[in-house]
Amino acid sequence: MNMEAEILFDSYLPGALQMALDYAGDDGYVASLPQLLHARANASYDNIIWNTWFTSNTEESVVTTPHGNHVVVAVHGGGIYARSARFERMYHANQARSNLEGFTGQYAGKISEIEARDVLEGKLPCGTEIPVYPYDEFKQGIADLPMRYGVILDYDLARKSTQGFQSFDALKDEPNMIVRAGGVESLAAYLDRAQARHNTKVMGNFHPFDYINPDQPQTRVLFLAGNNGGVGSEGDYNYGYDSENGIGGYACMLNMARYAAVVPQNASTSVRDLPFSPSS
Amino acid sequence: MALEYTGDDGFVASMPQLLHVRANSSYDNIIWSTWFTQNSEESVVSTPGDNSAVVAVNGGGIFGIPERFGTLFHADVNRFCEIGFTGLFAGKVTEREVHDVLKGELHDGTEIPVYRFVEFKRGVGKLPRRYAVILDFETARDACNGYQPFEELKNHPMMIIRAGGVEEEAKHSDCARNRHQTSVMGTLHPFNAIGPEQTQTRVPVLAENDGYVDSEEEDGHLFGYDSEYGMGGDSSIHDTSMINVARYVDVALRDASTSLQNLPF
Repeated sequence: MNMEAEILFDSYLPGALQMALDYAGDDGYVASLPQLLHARANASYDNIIWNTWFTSNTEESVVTTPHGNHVVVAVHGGGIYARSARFERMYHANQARSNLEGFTGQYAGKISEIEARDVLEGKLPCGTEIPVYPYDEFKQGIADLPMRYGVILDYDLARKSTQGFQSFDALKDEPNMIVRAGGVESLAAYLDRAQARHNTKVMGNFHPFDYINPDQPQTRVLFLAGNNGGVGSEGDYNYGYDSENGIGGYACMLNMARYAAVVPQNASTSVRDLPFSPSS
Repeated sequence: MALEYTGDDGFVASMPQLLHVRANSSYDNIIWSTWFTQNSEESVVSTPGDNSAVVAVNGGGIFGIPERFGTLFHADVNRFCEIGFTGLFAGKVTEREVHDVLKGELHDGTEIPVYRFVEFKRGVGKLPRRYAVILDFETARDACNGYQPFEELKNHPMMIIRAGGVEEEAKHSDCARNRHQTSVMGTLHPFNAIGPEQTQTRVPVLAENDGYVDSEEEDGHLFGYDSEYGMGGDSSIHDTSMINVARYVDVALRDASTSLQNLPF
């Protein structure tokens, strides 16, 4: 059995996510941001993984702890918004500012107090429980990280993280980046590859934490930027989906999506590699 | 969808290609475990000498493009309409289409070689991917219809054409027989149940089910798409109708190095 990946794209994010979940089935998974970065770090630059943008199965939630502290909880592998139905509930909610559901003014997804409290404890709406690591512990390294887990980062630390296009060396020690990449080593491996692609000096890293109200519990999914050829990766070329702004964490939760889903495939039962003519 | 997937450099698999790939794959492969529509067709035509013949085109013929099916589906279903369904749900074809396919000229401007059956049976050097074979109608009509011993199938004219030659037919029959050590296999055709005066085309189906069960039974407990009747189809809507569901196989060139399919995530 080999693990094989497929791209699932749709102009409607919940549609793309549902396709990805259906494709993944019970034995596969929808790639999180650390998994996308790992795949890039181990792929040639000609591969599509480097040449377009992806939506990740990773989310960052701003929540308040029982002690009244604000934190960012990153969940890789599917968290509060792990199901397309949760997105649709948000889309169809009353968008009045006072409503506890729906979008924030900057198009994050509002989450309930229960969802916020549960995710801090690693309890997800689907009933799954995941390990949740404090950032300091996570930075030191976790042996045998599971596919699905959370990391808690102090909000002030997240807010003060550099924003925009930064040198690769600076990014290697950036808390948000370490969490997003799945650890210090994984981040370094990815950054080295990204830097070597065109011998660039800086890369984009964006987050919303310096201009939102942390009292409003909210969640965003993370996007991994990319365009054909990796042009303009130093912030000087292209707009919108064609831009190469590194890793984006302030995109709205409303647009199109491109997921990568990975499933075990038995090549011996597939038509994929069969010879269809004597000359094949 | 199949044509779009293949693009300019790929192809939608014809019946000979499907049988070739079955003969070269394990029985666990999906190619052995479900039915397929293929990019082959069998037309009943009248030749300029006013003889009836069957023209089999492998690789896409008169119905090689979806628009031609669309024309058929949207045609007047009146008996006298010249481009709709026959009473047994084949697709009527026009005199012009018949004239062209006999010369190997297709809708899209492609020209293909057309072999006479006797020549084809002897063996044609390097067969192209897309070609036609002409068989006189009486031979097709008199060919056995139903479940036949594998040894007889190896000399069956429609089976030889569908498999892409004598050797290919023998290889496929041997593999099909060895799967469960069965004695007979189904091969169906409509030619003893239709009037050859009406020029018409059918796309034969390659049957199969999960596990290749009931492959010897004419009255098995499986029906319709679950039945294992071999290949072809008689004049029943359940077998060779041009209007039912379809499952094609596309083969396209892919550069694994640019796909994320095999990346380690």
